[in-house]
Amino acid sequence: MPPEEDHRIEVHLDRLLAERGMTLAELAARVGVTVVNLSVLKNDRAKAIRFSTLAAICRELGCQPGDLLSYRDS
Amino acid sequence: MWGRCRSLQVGRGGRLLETVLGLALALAGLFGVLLPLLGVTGPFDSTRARDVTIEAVTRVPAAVSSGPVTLHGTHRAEIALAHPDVQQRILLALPDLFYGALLVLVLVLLLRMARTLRRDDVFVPENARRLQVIAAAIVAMGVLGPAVDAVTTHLLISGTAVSPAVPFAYTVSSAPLLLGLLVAALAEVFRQGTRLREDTEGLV
Repeated sequence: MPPEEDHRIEVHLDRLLAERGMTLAELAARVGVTVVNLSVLKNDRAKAIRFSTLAAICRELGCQPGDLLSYRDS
Repeated sequence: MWGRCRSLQVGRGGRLLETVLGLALALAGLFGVLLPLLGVTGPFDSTRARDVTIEAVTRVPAAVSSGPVTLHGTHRAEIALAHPDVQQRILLALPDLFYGALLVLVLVLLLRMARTLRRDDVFVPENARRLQVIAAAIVAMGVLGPAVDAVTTHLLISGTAVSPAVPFAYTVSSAPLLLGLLVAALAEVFRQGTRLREDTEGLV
């Protein structure tokens, strides 16, 4: 994957998974996305996320999009 | 499992394509470039004749000029040089070398494109550029190739008794021109595909 430009969107997937005691593989199976793609998201290498994927993650983790994503001001 | 099967099929198909292109490249290099060059320098007998268009009509035996099926002469003939010197050998070989070099270029670029199949990643900017160069090479075959042929023929017969009978004849070859335009359109499709692929890279 080429180096990413700084879009300042932070993904807190690792924290949410740890709080719920869920592994990335389990979440991937429930959401219907590959582990590779979820790993890309978890490691801040994603450039875009589909609403359907975002909704599925929020459903399985019982959270809001704002819990998963935040904007870094500087 | 289906993804792995498909990957294997694409891999095998890609390798077969690379093999075929590699073989074509070797043959084009040998017959299109190396042998004409060696014909100029001397180890091999060079071509000594060239097809030309003449103003008169070639004659055929009278017996085949009547009946339900007839044979007619055309405006085609062949000039032959008994003992061409080095300069004449170069002029005779130039059209073959021109077409041969362009064909080698096209095959090298196609081979590089086929190698991107190994990565399952054909929609890359390099492939779009390669297709543009291939399109330009094919158009050059249709536009410049006949010009090289006409100019070298004119230089070969200039000042000889054959000269009045062979007019300077340059005609753009339409098939390579159309094919080149088609490939140029394909290059544009690849460029758009590359842009779309970049838009979805990193999309989860």
